[in-house]
Amino acid sequence: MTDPTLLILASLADGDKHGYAMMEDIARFAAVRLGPGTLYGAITRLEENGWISRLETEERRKPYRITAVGRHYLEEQMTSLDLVVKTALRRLKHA
Amino acid sequence: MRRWIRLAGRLYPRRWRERYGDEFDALLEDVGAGPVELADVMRGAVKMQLRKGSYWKLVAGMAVACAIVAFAISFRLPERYVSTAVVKVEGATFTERSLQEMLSRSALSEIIQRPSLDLYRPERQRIPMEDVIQQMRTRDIRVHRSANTVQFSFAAPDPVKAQTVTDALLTRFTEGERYASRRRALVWQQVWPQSSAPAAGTIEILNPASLPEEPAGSNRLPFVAAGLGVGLCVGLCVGLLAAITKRRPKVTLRMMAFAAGGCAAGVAVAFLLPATYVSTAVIRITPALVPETPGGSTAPPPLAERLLPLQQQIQSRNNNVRIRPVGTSAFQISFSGPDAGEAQAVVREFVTQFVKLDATAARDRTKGLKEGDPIRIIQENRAGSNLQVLDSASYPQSPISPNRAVITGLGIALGLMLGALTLMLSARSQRQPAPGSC
Repeated sequence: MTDPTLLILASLADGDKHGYAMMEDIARFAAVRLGPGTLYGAITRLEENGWISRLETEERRKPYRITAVGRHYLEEQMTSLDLVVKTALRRLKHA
Repeated sequence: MRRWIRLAGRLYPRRWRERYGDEFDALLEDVGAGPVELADVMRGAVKMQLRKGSYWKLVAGMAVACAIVAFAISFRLPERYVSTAVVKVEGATFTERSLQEMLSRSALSEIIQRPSLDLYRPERQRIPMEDVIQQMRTRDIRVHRSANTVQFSFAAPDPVKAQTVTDALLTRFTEGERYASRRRALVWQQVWPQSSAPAAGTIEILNPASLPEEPAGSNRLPFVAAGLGVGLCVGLCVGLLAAITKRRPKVTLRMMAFAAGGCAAGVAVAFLLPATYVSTAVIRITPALVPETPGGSTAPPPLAERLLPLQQQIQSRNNNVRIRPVGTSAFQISFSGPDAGEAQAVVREFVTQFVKLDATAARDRTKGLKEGDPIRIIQENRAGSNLQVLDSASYPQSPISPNRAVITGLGIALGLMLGALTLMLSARSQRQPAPGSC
């Protein structure tokens, strides 16, 4: 899975993070290295959709938090992905 | 590289930078600074410009970027030095003839291949000599005639070579004039020993071939303007495409599919159409050296009058042959056909036939006349005798048709029209109520 939107939501599901922390976390759990342009393109879309929100701090590096709507969207996506994964694994076993 | 990445970060839309600029710059300080990051930031900037930025900004940005690239490329263009010479010609009647000889294929070929000059070496490795000569004639040599002066100029990247070539052209021209004058005096003496030949024209070199110190006017500005134009067109196309894609992505996809189909069809048609090659040759009708009476004129009848019946006769037999006048005393024969070698062979055959016919006619005119007979000398030097082949039949390296770029462009346009038509039809069918529905 390489969709940056889902990767960011999955990263934030664990707790609030700023951009660089998200990049490092995603590289660790998904082995995908998002570039800065790709990361901030996805962050912009996610914030516009109301799935994440920025936490206002004095720091230059602003942390982001997943919203309830974002968490719901992530759960929906993961459930459907889970169904696909389970079906594929079952079929592979019977093949 | 980090500096370039930071600069690329400035390409994001202003409104976006107001919100995310600071934290984005902080992130750029943390991440690696390689070409992958630079490409990613640039791609992100373009996407964000298309999503959030103004299309006009994108168009302007593209135009400025292309202009900057064109400006940078223009520094790599070689400088060109122009050497000029001016000759005053008074009372001479062989100017046209001398200019034709000066610009003939054999004369220019000799100058090009002169070991001390060795002109157009890279071009000679890529394209045939005929094309190099044509380029020299049309692009680099300029001949300007006024009432009694002739100005020659030659442009080259090397000022000394520019001067040497201009000097060689000047020498060939003046020698041609002097030779023709001397020959006329000689023939005149043989034909009318009692009367004196008209005075030879005077040729005075007003300005010898100059050694240019500064390169000719820079062609940087038109180059930058062209870059600006290309950038504007590309920016407009990208902006338009982005605007349509944003509103109706399916429409764009369908139109692009039809355009790609049209492009493929255009390419296929362009490669299926037979190629046409054109070979050409130039023959000169020499003007009479002496008139038929001491006070008469040596001017030949207008060339068009001479060529018209010949042209009609040849074209009634073969429509691929064309004969057209070049200047006032030369004509060009061309043949177009599917095979380059055949085209050259046909033109060569025509040239041979013309020369043979001319020689036969000249023999017939002087038949029974003794050597040295004034009438024989007049006939030998009358206008139209001794046709001279200025340019022999050329071997065409590349076909003149089909124009593959135009056909492919037409294919794309046709594909887009078909795409628009199907969109209109599908929109109409969706508007119509389904049968049975009220």
